[in-house]
Amino acid sequence: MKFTNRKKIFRLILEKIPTVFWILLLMVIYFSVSSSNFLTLGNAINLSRQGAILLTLCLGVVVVKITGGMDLSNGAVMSLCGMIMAWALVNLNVPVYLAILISIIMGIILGTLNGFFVSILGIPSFIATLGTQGIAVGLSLGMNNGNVIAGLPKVFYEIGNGSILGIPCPLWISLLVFALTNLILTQTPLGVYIYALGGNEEALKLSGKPAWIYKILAYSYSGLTAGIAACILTSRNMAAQPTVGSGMEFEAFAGVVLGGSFIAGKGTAIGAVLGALFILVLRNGLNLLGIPTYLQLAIFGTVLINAIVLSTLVERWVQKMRDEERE
Amino acid sequence: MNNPVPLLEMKNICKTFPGVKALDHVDFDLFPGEVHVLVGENGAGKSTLMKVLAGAYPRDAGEIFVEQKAQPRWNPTVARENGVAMVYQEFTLLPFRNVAENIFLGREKKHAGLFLNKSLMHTQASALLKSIGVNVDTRCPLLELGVAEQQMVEIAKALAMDARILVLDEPTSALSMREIEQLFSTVRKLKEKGVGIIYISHRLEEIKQIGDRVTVMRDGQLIGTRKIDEVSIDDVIRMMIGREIEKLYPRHYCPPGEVALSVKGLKSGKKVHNVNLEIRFGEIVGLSGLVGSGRTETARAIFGLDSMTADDLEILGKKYKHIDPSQAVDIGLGLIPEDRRRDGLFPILSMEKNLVMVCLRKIFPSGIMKPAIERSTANEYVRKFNIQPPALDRFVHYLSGGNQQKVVIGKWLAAKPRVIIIDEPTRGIDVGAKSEVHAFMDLLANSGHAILMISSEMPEILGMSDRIYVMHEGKVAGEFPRGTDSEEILRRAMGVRA
Repeated sequence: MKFTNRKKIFRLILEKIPTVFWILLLMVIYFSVSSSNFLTLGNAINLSRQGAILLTLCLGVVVVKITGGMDLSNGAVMSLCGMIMAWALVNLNVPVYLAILISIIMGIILGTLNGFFVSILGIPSFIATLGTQGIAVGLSLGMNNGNVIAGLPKVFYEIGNGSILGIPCPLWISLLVFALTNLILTQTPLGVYIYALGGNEEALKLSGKPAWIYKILAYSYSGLTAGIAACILTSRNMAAQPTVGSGMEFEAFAGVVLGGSFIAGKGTAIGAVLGALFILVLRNGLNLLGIPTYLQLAIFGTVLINAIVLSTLVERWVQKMRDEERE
Repeated sequence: MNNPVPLLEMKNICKTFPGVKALDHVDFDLFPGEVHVLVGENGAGKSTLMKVLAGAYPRDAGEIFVEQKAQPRWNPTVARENGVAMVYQEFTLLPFRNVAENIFLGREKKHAGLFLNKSLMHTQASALLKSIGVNVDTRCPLLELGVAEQQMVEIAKALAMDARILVLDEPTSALSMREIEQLFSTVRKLKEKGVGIIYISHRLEEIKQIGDRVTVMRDGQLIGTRKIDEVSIDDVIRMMIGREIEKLYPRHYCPPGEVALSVKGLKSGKKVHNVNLEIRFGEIVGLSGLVGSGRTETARAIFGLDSMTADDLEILGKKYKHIDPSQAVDIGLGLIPEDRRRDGLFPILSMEKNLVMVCLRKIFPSGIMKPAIERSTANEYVRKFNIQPPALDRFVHYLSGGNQQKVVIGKWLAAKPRVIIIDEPTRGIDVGAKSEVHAFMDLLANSGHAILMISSEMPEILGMSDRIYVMHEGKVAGEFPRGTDSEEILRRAMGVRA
């Protein structure tokens, strides 16, 4: 009896804490030992300023991923939002808060467009968001003939580079987004419906709910986080660059999958954060160790695949233990 | 039945689909606190009637009354408002979410109209479950529950919607004996609460245990409604079939030949523990048993689809340790699967491509396909089986169930197997196609093929088999000759010892 109880606790630990957490822990230990610069306050602050962007994106993607979709457009949407915001700040002299609002609304519009394609037109999310990515890349390149928009007002600098209570502003922002995502997913009916979309869409329809609206909202939310991330990014660079977000969509997607959202209907906000942290720490650690870029990319790919394989194996193992318990 | 006011009356319901009269002036009623069993063969019109009741199909003619009030407008919303709830065969539950969330899906309890009131949901959910005699942790994710418990959650979900007319569609098809008992006690609790229950089942033994009245349907018509105490199971079977079993099934028995396949001590996965069986040439062997007893898994193991071990496996006079599917096809084994749409067909390939899929290597040993030969091979089977319409280019997706089944069988016969395993040969196909398939199986056996037929339909097992194996919990629990009566077989299938 005692033995089976211990086994159950073991199973619950494996089940409730994403595997990526343990890998992350190992990585932190390894980098701390092998580089004296890794476990320092300076590096932590640097990491959180850079990382807030990916963190914010991941928190949007996880919502889409839970419904069973993917979002390949958020990197490009983020670039476009940044370009529009910078353009408005420089050419229209709009106040900063209005520029932020413009960026966020632009993100929501593009996200909703994705949702419209997927939910109403029934286009697979991969294709739909790839299309939106193309549109967003094209528009942001066209806005200033492919050039950077610089010369932003001084006040704007604070968003990406300031601190409140010693904690960098970008981290505050991503913490807020985390709190919001977690609240929606765990404490509201909307959250239940998001999970229902991924778990059994038919069940949601049969209980008389307009499933299509919730699906659109999931994509809108991913757009919203891209708009927020754009504010941090643009402020950190004090310039908007039309291709700055390219590739970020894949990192965000990988982070979300690593964080436990392997299949539709699964995933959590905390998992998304852990997945994003995994990618950030790996990047940062390899940098600090002074590994050349080409090698960094190869190592990054290898570790990523191994982490996902390991997570999937643990997932299956847990499933098996659960089956045994039932018998 | 203390209350004389019927909860539900359906009068003269008619429904026509292109080419089929699915419901032909059917009357049906239900009293509060009653279990009204609805039986009939596949295609008899039971599910159409229930879909009309749920509002999913509009009726062509007829009237619906709820507590004697006529309901001229009847659609899914009105049906739900009047307390009609279906518990579907495929559960409409969310596997990763907990019991309470599933029960209140779409009707969440809220704080301030915005946030989930989880504690209230849990208390109400567990009160609801207790009221039907179920004790499960409402915080438990659905996938950790057994099938029966999941079904209870489904029922509780219907009750949370204030269901008064509850339709249980084959609720026991996936349950073990113990779980069936649990379901029945829940059903009794529901009766006490005054819920009217329409109970659809293929397991005739259950009717006596749980039903108050039984209605039999056949070919879209109402054959009769009887009080349970006033009918025997044989009466019900006669009403369902309308003919004597011997006349319905065209099996011409002829003495079997050599042993074609024999397996001893077969083990595979969790469902097959110890199976011993043999099939002779010229013989149709029926494999009976409840759903989940390991019949399909036995077939898959013999065919090499799942990993297995056996003390002894002999096919066509040669011994094997284990085989894989491609080897199985080469040595002359064919497996016609249970779920033809999922495992048997390539829905958006043409009929021609589907028909030659298995025999490609045999008819084109060089590896290069010749369209003319492909076409003539396919044509041969279209003619043999009378597949309608005989359009070789048509995607099989668009064929009717019966014709699809003929394509699956034809595809395997094109590979010229000697031993054929057929899993549920006539599930979900109409009466005409059914007898064609049966006639063909008879012909195959009598021309020297060995056939193992898995079937959940007792009349089919009784009518077609020369010999019958009964499986129970992964073992062969008994072997019976032709002419054994159905009760004997069912008793063994349910684990009752002889």
